[in-house]
Amino acid sequence: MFLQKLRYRIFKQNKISFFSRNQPISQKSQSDILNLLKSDKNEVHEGYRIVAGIVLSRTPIILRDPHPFEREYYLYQQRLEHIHAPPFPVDFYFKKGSVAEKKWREKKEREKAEASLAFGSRKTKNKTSSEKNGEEETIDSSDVSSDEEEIKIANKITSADLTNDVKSLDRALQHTLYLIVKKPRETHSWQFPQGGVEKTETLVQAASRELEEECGNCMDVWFVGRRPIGYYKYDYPKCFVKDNIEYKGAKVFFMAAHIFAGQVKVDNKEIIDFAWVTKQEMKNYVHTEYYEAVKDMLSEH
Amino acid sequence: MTNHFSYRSALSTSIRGLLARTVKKSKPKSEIPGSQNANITDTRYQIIKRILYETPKPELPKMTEQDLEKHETIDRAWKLFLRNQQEERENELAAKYRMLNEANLELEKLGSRLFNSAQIGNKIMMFPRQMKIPTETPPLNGWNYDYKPPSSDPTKPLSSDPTKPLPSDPIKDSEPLPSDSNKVSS
Repeated sequence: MFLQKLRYRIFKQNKISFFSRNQPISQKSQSDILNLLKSDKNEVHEGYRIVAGIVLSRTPIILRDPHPFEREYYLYQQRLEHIHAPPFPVDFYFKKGSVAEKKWREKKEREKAEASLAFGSRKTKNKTSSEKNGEEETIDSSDVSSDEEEIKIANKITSADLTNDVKSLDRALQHTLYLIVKKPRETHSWQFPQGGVEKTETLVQAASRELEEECGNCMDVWFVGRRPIGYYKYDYPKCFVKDNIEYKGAKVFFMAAHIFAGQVKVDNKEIIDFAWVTKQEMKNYVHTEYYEAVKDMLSEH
Repeated sequence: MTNHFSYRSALSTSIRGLLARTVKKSKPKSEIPGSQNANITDTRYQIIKRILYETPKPELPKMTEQDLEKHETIDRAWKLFLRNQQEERENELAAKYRMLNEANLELEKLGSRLFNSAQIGNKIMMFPRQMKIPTETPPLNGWNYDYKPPSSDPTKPLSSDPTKPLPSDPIKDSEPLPSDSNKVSS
């Protein structure tokens, strides 16, 4: 009899009575449930949040300018070869009396004239004979005949270079540009885009999703394999706790990606600004500690 | 209105080929090189023989002692320059590899799911067609800022220009994950 009463009392304590079932759950227990759901979603290891970062790079579009010593050395070698080369068999390559032969002979006459002029000033000779496709926009009109079409060549130094527009992807065409984003906070604001890895995702999937969320989907991006290229572990400042869950800090795994077209679209929630910078310029934006941890992943050129 | 240029295209290609073959345009035997009836007095044979057998053999340049010293200094400076360039490149690659190695070792510590999914490669490695090597000068139109992602509806055309290459996916999964037990049902 006593046991039955005990059992009934326990049963009553545990069971939600018919009347209380429809009442709203208290605020505190509601947030607890939400916390449970959120912690189930994110990957955590030893109190550190697992985060996928994205090193999105725009590879160089043009070849690097030759070093001055390189230029001089190649000129020197060219001159040596010209001095010691066997005579050019004009009659083999050009049919006697043809138009091509006439053009060739004219070209040789012009070069001789230029060479005789250049004995006075050596600098001009270097510019006219060797640098045919340097910083000049159009080809010499004397080289192009009226029959051939004029080939248009774009400038190696673009308007974005001159105005130092950090958002432009036409800047620094000889170097690799990396995407960094600005978070709405005072310290450590500039960094690579990153975001938490969920429990059902791989690293690449998380990286791709976070990039799309933070920087928009108007970019043609390709991820280089599934392996992370870098690792950075940092502790959160004591006052910071994300989503009501206590994390000690984060472990970021950086994934490499390339951009082929498009531009970043700021979502203004997690990211408020962006910039495309070279490895050397990144020092001016990013915190020194972050830069030291991250610089070895990046290319100098 | 009769079109004066249409009489040619009125014939089919097969008939035109037949006509062309019946009207033979063969060279006279004396002009075909190597044939027994070839004209030996043709000047081209002399030119070819001269180039093949009579071009002077390239000799080492005759330099004075001073010239030689200069040449050797230039040579040593060049080799040093190349060596320094090579070292820089090697150091950069070594640093990148070190970061890569460290990252993967740390990932291994976290547990098998993320690590295993990261170590899979594709059986057939494919690179996107948009990935281009640097050229001498940039493209005339500059960077393409007007990229639109492809629509999810497969019946719709991908873009206004169907000849444009498809945008690349973040790596196609060619193999299933090795450990399906760790996979949480979404």
